[in-house]
Amino acid sequence: MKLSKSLLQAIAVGISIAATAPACTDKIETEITTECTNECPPSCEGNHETPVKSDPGNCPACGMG
Amino acid sequence: MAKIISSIACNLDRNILAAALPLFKSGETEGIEWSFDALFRPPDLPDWFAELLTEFGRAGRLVGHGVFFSLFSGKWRPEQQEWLDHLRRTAETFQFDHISEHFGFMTGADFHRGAPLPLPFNRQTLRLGQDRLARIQEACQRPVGLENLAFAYSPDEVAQHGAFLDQLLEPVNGFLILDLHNLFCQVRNFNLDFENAIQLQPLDRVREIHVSGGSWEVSEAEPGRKIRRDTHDGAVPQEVFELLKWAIPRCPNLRFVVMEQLGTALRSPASHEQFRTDFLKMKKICAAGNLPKGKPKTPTENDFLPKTKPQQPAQPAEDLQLWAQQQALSGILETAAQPGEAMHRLANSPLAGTDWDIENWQLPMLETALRIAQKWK
Repeated sequence: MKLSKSLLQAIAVGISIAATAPACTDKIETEITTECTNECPPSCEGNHETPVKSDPGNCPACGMG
Repeated sequence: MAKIISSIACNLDRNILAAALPLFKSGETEGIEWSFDALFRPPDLPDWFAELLTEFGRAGRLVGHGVFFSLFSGKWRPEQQEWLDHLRRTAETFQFDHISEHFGFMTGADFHRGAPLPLPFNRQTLRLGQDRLARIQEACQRPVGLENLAFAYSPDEVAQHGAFLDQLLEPVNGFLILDLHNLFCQVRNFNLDFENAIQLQPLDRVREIHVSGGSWEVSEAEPGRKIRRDTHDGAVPQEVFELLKWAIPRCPNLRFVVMEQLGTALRSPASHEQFRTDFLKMKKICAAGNLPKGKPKTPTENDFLPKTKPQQPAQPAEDLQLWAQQQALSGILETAAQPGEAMHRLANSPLAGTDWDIENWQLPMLETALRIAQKWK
């Protein structure tokens, strides 16, 4: 399905911004939202105010087997 | 059969999006599946991601795939009502073609954690599952479906799974997501014949097929035995592509074929390339499946909407005995050091001598359940 150039550009920018945002640990995929959990190391500068599960955006049920 | 829409599982994950971006640019991606509950208390979605969902939704090419509802929890929990409320709002915002969830109950003591595992197939669990599915359908007002589970404790369980799914889905006229890698796991783990195993599934209910990779794990409980796990962290095996070729002509109501991979396995350029190669290979098989080959189209395709509005009491169904058993099992799976210890504790638990049939669970599969539960607790 064709997407507009402006949307494709916005996705590309979103991915690149995410790549430079603070990351936590290997286990925690937080690049996009910069949301973190209490599993983060003390040095983490991400947002700890909103609790989210430890693997946001990934699907344990889909990949749990 | 309507045209098959070749799709990717696309969450708000940088690695997945980076791997998929060239496919978006070339227009190869025909649809997307979004796990709308993966960020349970999310910040606002970025505008561009919401626009991506909106674009595919407007074209009838967006499907929602829930993970954390825990369909078979014996006790109705406030978090499940929150989940339904979240689904209702999300389905008002985005145009999903359909909504699906996983079979099983979550092992985690806290909602939104854990991994789904199987449970007894009996009248009580059937009633519970039918009640919960009707609530999901009422909340989203879309066709609803369930995915077959990868994990089983015994071959008997595999033999009964498809018929139980069919009974569960019947009152809401629901659909089945046939996860071919999940089936591949069962076939390999119990040395079954694939054609026999797949024909135990209600193939006329299949509206979506999942394709993915996984991994092998060496059993310590039974040296020499390897267990196939649905870990979504590798390339799609050729056998799964062969299963897809076999399954497409036998699923007359198939609409979406979705390739899934975890973002954590998509960190390198080589893995991105493999992801795209697998997708294009999958798409080619789907395109070939779209060819009429002289066969007439299905006269009346199932829209998978309820034929009648399901009657459901105001109070969600519960089974507190099942809940107690689930709590006991979760506790054992999350804390036992060895499968032998787990089996000993199960034999002295409320699950002994019940429909859980723990007496026939295979030790290497119990070992796998321990690993799954302890990975995701």
